[in-house]
Amino acid sequence: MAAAIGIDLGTTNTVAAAVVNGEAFTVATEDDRRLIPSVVAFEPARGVLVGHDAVARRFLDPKHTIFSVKRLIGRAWESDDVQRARTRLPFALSEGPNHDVVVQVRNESFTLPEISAFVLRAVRQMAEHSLGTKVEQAVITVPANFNDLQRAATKIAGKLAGLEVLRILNEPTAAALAYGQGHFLDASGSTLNRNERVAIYDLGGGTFDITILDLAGNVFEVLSTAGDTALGGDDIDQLIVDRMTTELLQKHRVSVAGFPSAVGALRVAAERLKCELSSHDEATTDLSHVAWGEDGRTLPFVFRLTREELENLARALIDRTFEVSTIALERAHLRAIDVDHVLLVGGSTRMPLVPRTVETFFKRPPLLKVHPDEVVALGAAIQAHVLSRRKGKPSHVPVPKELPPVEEPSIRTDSLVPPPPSDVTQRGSTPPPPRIAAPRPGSSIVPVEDTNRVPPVTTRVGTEVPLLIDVTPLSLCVETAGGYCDRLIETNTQVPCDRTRVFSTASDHQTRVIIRVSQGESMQFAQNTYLGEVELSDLPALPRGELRVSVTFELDVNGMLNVRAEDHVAGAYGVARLKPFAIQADPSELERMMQRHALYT
Amino acid sequence: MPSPDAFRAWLEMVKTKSYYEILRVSPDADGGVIKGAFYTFSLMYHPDRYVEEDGELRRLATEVFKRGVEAYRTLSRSSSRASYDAWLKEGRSSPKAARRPEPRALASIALSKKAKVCAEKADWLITLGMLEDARLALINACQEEPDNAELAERLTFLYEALALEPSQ
Repeated sequence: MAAAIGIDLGTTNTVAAAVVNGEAFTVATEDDRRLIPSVVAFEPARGVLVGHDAVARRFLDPKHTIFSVKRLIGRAWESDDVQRARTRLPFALSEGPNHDVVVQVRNESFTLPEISAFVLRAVRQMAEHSLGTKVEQAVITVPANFNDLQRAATKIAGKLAGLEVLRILNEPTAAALAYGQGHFLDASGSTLNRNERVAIYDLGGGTFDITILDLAGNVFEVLSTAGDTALGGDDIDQLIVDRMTTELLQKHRVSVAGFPSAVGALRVAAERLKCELSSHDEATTDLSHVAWGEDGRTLPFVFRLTREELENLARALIDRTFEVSTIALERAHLRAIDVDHVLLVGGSTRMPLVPRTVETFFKRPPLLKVHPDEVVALGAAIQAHVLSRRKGKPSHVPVPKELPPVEEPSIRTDSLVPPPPSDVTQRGSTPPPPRIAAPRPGSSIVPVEDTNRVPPVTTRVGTEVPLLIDVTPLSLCVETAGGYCDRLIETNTQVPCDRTRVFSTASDHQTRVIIRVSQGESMQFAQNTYLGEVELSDLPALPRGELRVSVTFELDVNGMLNVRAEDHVAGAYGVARLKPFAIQADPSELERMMQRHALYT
Repeated sequence: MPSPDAFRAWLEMVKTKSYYEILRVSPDADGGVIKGAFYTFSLMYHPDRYVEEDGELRRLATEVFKRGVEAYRTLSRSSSRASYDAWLKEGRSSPKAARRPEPRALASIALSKKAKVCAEKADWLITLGMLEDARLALINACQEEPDNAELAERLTFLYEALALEPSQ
C-alpha cells in the first residue's frame, strides 16, 4: 500500500516523516541523516545532486548549485526580495515569462518550483527506501505567512515531484499538532488537562512565524498568526559573513565580493561558527583557504567570534521577531502573559539568545519538549496520515437532528436552543451532539422529520487526532477605483471561508469586467502582493448597472484562493479563473516541466 | 451515512437563520459558550472530518462549515456582534438583510459642517448615478470624520455597489 508522508520543505533543510503503526517518526537516509539540505546541484549531462552531496558542490561549482529557493518561490521578479537576493546569490536568476523568477543553469532555465521538486523527489525516494513502500501523497508545510502564490508554487513543486499534495499546512500549526499529540498522549495514556494556549515561535533558516493556538480537547484552533517571510538564520549567517569580509579587507586588503565560491565558503564557515557558538562561548575558524594573495599563495586568516559578539550582531534581527509576536498577540486580543506555553521550533532557536529573549518577552521560559528540527515534519506526517484515510473505518455516530424550524423569522431563539456545554475545557472523546429542543407548550415550534435534519456527525478521524482549525495570515483584497483596497476576507479568518461580492457594470453594454486581487494588510492596493486578476467576459450587453454578477472569493482549507462567478440576470453560472501572477500554473506548461524533470537523474 | 441531500437542505435553510441559530447558542451566550459551540460545529462540519467521503459530500461540508466561520467571526468580536445584534433586533435575521441598512441621506449621517458638505455632494452624485465621483466625495467626508462608523459603513456599501471600470 502506498504511504502518505509529511514534508517540512525548509529554506536550509528538508525533513520527511511518516506514520507507521500509529507512530510518527522522521525518515532517515541510509547513513542515518534526517536533515536533507535543500540544495540542488546540476552536473554536466543532466545529472542532479540533492542534499549533502549537493552541499559539497557549493564551493566547487557555485554557479550551478542552487539553494535558498524558498526565499524566492512564488515571488514576483520585480519584488524587492528577489532583487536583493540577485546580488547575494552566486547563481544566475532571471525573469520568467510570467513575471516569475527562473534560475539559469547550464543553458537551461528552471522555474523555482522545478528546483524545489528535485528536493521533494529526493526526499520522496528516501522515504520510499526507508518505508519500503511507494509514496504518492504528501502534506507539505509552508511558513504560516506564505501568501497564495507562494502556497500555489509549493503545491506545483509537489506535483512535479510526482506527489499528490493532500494539504499545504502551516509550519507552526504542524508543530502544534505534533506537540499536542505527543504531549497529551504520552503521559500514562490518561487524559491530561487538554486545554492549553500555546505560542509557536518558529525561527527557521529563512522565515519567522509566530502562531498562537488554543489546544482544547479535540480541536486545535489557531487564534492568530503573524510572520516575516524574510527573516531567519540565513540573515544571521550573512551578518557573520559581512564581518568576515570586513576583517579580510582590513587585514589583507582583499575583497572576496566578486568571488562566489569564496563567499560560499565563508557562508558555510559562518553557519558552522554560529552553531558552535550555541554550545561554546567562543569559536574560531581557519579561513586561510578562502583568499589568495597576488603571488597565488593563500592568505592566513583565522576568524574568531565570541558568543557575545554574535549576540550583538543578531540582536536586532531577534528583536524583530518580537515585533511580529506583538502583532500576533494583538490580533488575538491577548497579552504575552496569557500564553500558557511557548514552543521553540526551527534550528535558529538553538541560539541561546533566543530562549533567553523569549523568556523575557513571554515572562516564562520556553518549553524545550519538542525537537526543533523535526517537529514540523512529524506534525505534517500526522496530518498526512489523517487526510489519507480511506473508507472502511468504523461507521458514523448517530445522526443529530436539526433545530426545529422557526416559523417567524423574528422569533428569538434563546428559548429554543439549549446552549452547548459551556465548559470548553472538559471535553470527552466524543463531541456532545447538539440536542433537539423539546417543543414548549404554547410556542409555535413544531419538530420536523427527516427532511430538515442536519448533516450527521462522522466518527472522529482516528479518535486521537485533533481537528485543526487554521486561519489565513493575510487579508484578501480587490482593487477599487482609485487604487484602494476593498478587503473581502480579513487576516486571521478561519479557513475554509468565503465572501461574495456583487459587481455591476459601469457603462452601457459593457461585456467584460476585470477584478484585480491582492493579498496584504495595506489599504493601498499597490503595496500588497498582487495575486492576479479575475476576468468576467462575454457578459450580456445590458444598460449599465442592470447586470449583476456575484463573485465569490473562497479561501480553501490550504489557505489558497478560488474564485467563482454567477451572473444574476442571465442566470449563467461561470467559473472565473484567477489568472495568477508570478507563477506558471498553465497545465501544458506543467506537463512540459514534468517531462523535463524526468530527464534529470 | 450522511446524505448530500441533508447538507443541501441545511444550506438552503441556513439562509433564513441567524448566526446564533447556526451555532446553536442563545443570543446572550458569552464568548466561551460561542467558542465551544463553534468547536462542536467544527467537529461536525469541518471538511477534514469527511476525508473518507466522496468529493461532493466534502464540498458540501465545506459550504456548511464556511457559514459557521461567518457566524463565529461575527459573534466572537464584541464590535461586530453588537452591530449584528442591532440588526437582529429590527427583525432582520438574515445576514444579507442585516448588511443593507435603509438608505439614509449621507448628509444626515455626517455631523460636522465640512463633512456634511462633502456628504451632501455624495448624495447628489449618487442620485445622478455618478458612483465613482460619489465615492470620492464620501471619502472626503470620512476623512473629516474618521470616527463616524456609519459613514465608513456607507462607504463600504458604495464600494460594493461601485462598478469596476472595463480594462483599457
